[in-house]
Amino acid sequence: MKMQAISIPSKAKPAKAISLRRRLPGNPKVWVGAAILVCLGLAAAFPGLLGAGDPYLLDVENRLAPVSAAHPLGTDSLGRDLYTLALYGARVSLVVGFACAVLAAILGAFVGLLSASVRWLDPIIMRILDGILAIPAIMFAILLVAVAGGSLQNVIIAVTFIEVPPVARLVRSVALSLRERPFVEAAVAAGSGLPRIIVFYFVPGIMAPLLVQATFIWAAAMMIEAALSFIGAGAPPSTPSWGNIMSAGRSLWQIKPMLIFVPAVMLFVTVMAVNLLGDGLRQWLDPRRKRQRP
Amino acid sequence: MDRRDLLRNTIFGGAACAFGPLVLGGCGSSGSSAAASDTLRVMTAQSLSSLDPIWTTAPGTRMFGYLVYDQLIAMDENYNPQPQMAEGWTTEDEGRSYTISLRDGLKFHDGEPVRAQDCVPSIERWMARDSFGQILAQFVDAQEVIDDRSFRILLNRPVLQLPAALAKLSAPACLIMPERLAKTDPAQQVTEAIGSGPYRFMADEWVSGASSAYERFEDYVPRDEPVSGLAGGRIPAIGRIEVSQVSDPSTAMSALMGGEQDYWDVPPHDLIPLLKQDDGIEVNRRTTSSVYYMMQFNHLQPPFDNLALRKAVAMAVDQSQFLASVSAPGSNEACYSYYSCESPYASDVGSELMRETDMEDAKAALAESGYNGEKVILLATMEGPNAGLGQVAEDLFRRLGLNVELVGMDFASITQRRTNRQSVDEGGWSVFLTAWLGDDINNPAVHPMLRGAGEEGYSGWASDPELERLRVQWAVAGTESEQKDIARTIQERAYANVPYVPLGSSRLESAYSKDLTGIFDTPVNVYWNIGKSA
Amino acid sequence: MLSYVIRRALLTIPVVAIVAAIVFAMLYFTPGDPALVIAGDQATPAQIERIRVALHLDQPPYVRFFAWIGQFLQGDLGVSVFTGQPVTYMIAQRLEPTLSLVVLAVLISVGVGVPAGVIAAWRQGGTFDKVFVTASTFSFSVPVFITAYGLAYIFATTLGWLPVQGFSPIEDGVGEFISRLIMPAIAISMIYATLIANVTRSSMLDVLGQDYIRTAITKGVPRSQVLFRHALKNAAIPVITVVGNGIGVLIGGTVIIETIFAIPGIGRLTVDAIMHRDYPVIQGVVLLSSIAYVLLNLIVDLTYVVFDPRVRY
Repeated sequence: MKMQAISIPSKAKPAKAISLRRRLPGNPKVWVGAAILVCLGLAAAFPGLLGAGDPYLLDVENRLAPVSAAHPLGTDSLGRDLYTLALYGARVSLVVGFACAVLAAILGAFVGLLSASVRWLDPIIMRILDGILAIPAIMFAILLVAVAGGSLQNVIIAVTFIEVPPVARLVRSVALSLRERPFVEAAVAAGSGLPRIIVFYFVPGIMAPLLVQATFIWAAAMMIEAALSFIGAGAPPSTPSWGNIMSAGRSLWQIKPMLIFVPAVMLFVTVMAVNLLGDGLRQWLDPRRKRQRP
Repeated sequence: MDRRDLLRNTIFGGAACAFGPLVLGGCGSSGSSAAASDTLRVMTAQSLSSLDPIWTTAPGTRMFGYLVYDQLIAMDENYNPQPQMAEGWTTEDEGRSYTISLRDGLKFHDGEPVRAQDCVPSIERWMARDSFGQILAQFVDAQEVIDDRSFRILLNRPVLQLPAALAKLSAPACLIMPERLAKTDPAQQVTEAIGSGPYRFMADEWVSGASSAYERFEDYVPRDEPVSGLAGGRIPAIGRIEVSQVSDPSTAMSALMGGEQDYWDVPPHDLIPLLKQDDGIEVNRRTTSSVYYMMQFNHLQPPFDNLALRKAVAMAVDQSQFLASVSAPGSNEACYSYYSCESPYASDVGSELMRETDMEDAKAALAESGYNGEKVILLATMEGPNAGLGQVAEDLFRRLGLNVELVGMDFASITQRRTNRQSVDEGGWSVFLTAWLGDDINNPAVHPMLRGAGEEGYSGWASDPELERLRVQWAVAGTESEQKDIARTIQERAYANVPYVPLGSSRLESAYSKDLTGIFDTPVNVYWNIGKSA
Repeated sequence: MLSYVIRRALLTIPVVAIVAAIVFAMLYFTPGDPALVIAGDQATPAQIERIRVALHLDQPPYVRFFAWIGQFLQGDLGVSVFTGQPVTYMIAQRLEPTLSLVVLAVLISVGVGVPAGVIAAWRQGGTFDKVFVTASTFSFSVPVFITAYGLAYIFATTLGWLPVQGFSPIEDGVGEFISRLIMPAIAISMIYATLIANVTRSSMLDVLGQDYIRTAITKGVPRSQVLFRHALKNAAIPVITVVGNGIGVLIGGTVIIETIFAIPGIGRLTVDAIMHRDYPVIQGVVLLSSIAYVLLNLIVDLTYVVFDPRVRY
């Protein structure tokens, strides 16, 4: 399990400022990933249009019902419609993943830029980040949720918290290497202040690696959410998330494999779509690609 | 040995030996020890975290307690107290004095003889922790050691129930420890395990929350009578018992079917049909006591300090919904008695509140109760066989119109959280769901939740001084019919005050290998007298 | 060189101190009172107060923090709230299963990941490489518990070849040891191995494009020798880095896998302790696993010297 989006070192240093607009993605991975995500996103936004019912509706007398017209995938151990749960699960998963990615990217960029710009803060920030990184991520997430209480919001906060340090490190290293470049040195020499340097040189420079990293966090966050729910340390059990469905289905999978199989496949497809998007973006935005394919 | 087992050992053992030497520099013998046929391997979802069966009521510790410690008096299958460590007892002064004498040859696991001097402080400490013991303590004037093998309990009035109290089988049971352990502060845990029971605890092999091991106590002297409930001869038939905590039911099932384990104390009901299909496995209602589910209110904090609202919830409850989520059809039963339905005191008195009302009545009652949308924090376990209850309750509250938030946690966390008396904003709670064995609730004295002691009592802190007075009366009542009358009045009061809502009962089953012999019916899972044929 | 080692080692101290402070602060702000847990259900307020004093819970937080650190430096991590056992003893008891699992997983991951990455890079764009790239996107997307159940279903439930639970120490027989650990080890290796393979591949691609490799090939040095002796050695640093950094992923994986396969290790101890709010155990486990991680990465940093003669300190 990828517990934390780990940037692959040799690829984590695209040091050039790249304008996103200048090159449109030609990589099919981006389009395949994006297309799957758009479909899932629409399904998650309008589950009612796809025939989903109320994900909270219990029907205990009808528990573990087989596949039927009323229940295209049968029901779970409390009689909820599995098809409905699976669709609503996409909503929870995508929201958690996306929220964590955006929050971790923004916070990570802030901390990374702060560290790269204010020299006396740099060693302090770096040691704190090292400290957080030294705690195994999933352990830390379980601990955070246990301390703060099991809600979806707290899961998002916990995952964001553990994903900020790698982002901050990445942003810092990109910004530091930008600072050594002639055009930045020239700007400094010409009297541009620190805020100006940050806004006009650092921010555009970190956008590409940040975007790639954010997609990997997106994927990682969905997996961590599922893992936390699976061991009962995540969102409240009535939350229709894939991890919760699997957690409840865990003792029943020899009887009704669908309870594990359906959410697992949904989660797998979603994570894979995000990973494809990320891979594609990386190859598209990574200037080293040309060198690698002689 | 199972065919599958054989296959695995040949194929895998062979493969491991083929590459093992290259990688790891040797190929040892197969892991199964020579004594496998003399070892009973038990799986449970309960964790053994504490070694003090007087201090905690945790089911894992109770199981440990019955293996390692012994009782003076034990309940037979008809719930009559019978001498166990005791040779017998006599009463004098119209039941104001009991003299208990010990059997010959009883020894603790450290080799010391069991003496009356050990029994007296053990009873003392138990009376400080147990709810029945606390009632008893009100009447005990003194305990006197007569000699090494006998002692006397002096009471300030006749107490018919004294042998039943000492034979109490629900936790904490009155288990006898050596004097030096028994003198531990009742609020602190005993961390050693020196008992006089049929099995010795292997302290070095204990991995808390994972596994524990026991070996036959060679000096144990079982009674001659045949086993009957917890009474009769407790024979350490098998040399060694290994208990593993397996929290994943799928894993546990595969392990039992694959012959890696011999006994599974409480398999989830959904897996029973699959276990029954396996030719090598016996599924049996071995435990004679059903399990009873309840919904406990916090009487100190809004909204459930409001009697009208508690009544509205009781009206809304449909026991069959709760039971369907935790047990198979046909293995559960609605029970509107505040005692277990197997108890001689079971009745429907006062239960019209639940039986003759429905959701519409409940909603009407809610509207009149003055409930103002206060937040309801519902605590429930999300693991093990009772996992469904929480969500059924959440669904019920939502339909009733309560502003509910379900907090799923493991049982140990609930036992901690429920001690918080503050409001829900300060980490408190409103309702929790729990379960007890029928034996834990079969009369007013042992019942931990049928209380009215207010802030001095069990979490929930229902206050009803009259009910507390009736409990004590019950314990000292002179005749059985008098006891029945008191028990009935207590239930009437309970339905008038609704300390908690009974949710019904279900039967538990155990699954074990057909190679096991000597399995007998018992109120709780205990492992003496069990041997292995293969 | 020696001064670098010392400087680098000293740098780990603030990191460990920060971990200690974070964990302590988090638990300090947690609602819930350990004294209540210890006293149990039927305790009186006086009994609870006595326990609180005995545990120094009535002291201000900084006093407790430094007392805890002081004890830790003497090798004492306190006593579990639930079991009454010393935390160091509980951790020591569970070290072997987790270490065995992690070591086996590292062996599998490196043993599979590195050769796969090398071959994929050597035959870039070939069939193996294409399969490799697809498979790695695939295996990055499967949660560890799904892999675990899949393996258990195939090898234990259907084929009946492997046992599904428990741990058997290596001294009781290598066959039994491996048969119980192989499924959990493979399950937690999936993502880690993929990570190693990917880094190996891209690092090798960099090296293979360089002149001295081309020269060696044109000179007629055997290809396997070029690949594994010349190229791999020069491509090793990123690979070693990811092996070190990724250990965190493995430790995280053990948390879940030990529960599924009922292995009595550190991961399960952690989850149980967190769920029970067993503060001394949580603090001890998190602190020790962080120290292990920091030390491991210290070693990784120092091995750079071996693989890259250009690195001089």
